[in-house]
Amino acid sequence: MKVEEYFFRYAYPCSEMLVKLGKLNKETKRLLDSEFESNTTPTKLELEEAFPAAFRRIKLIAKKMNKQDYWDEYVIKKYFREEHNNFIDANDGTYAKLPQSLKNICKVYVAEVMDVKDNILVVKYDHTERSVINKFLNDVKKGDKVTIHFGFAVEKI
Amino acid sequence: MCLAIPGRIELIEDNMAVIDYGIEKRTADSSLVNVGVGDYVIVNAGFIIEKIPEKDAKQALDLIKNES
Repeated sequence: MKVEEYFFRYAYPCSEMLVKLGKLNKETKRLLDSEFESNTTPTKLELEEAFPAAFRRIKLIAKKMNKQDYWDEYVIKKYFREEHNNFIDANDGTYAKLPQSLKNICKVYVAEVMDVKDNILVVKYDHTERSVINKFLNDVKKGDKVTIHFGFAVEKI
Repeated sequence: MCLAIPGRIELIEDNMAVIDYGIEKRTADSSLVNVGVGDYVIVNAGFIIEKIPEKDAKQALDLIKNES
């Protein structure tokens, strides 16, 4: 998978909130919606313009990892799988203004798959069992570990 | 379609909920989460993915109103 596609899977659900907060213009949002629905991936430039706060954080991580190019697979993975929740807990940027329940929805969790029903996965993490939408993963089965973001199963790990 | 904005459930019929966002109403599948009329929820891709406390919903809606 291209690193742009990987980024987009995690970031897209946040785009509606960004529009409402006046941080993303409606024209760009419409472009992202049509790309998401047609399973195409925006360019690096489009993504950086749409999600500047994420890239501010990603650039910090790249620096810490001594990577020149922040569009590096390992940098982007480290952001979503490890650092993203730390930025939320540290109340970085707009997160400072969000109530706890919304911050929790923004977090990425690693969950175990308990059951598979068509495009729905029943998963368990932190003593919580819930159903999430599976749009991206083809060969997922009971016992697999997947990441969860905004009610979506994003990747198998 | 994704919506990270809280809305209030107005009606549920056969796992389809009508959700009021103030300026507009939308429908969403309510089968993933145990919800009822009056609950504040977050919708993503046509599904209700989470129920949130009323005070949190109001805080988020105030934030949206003030910043945009």
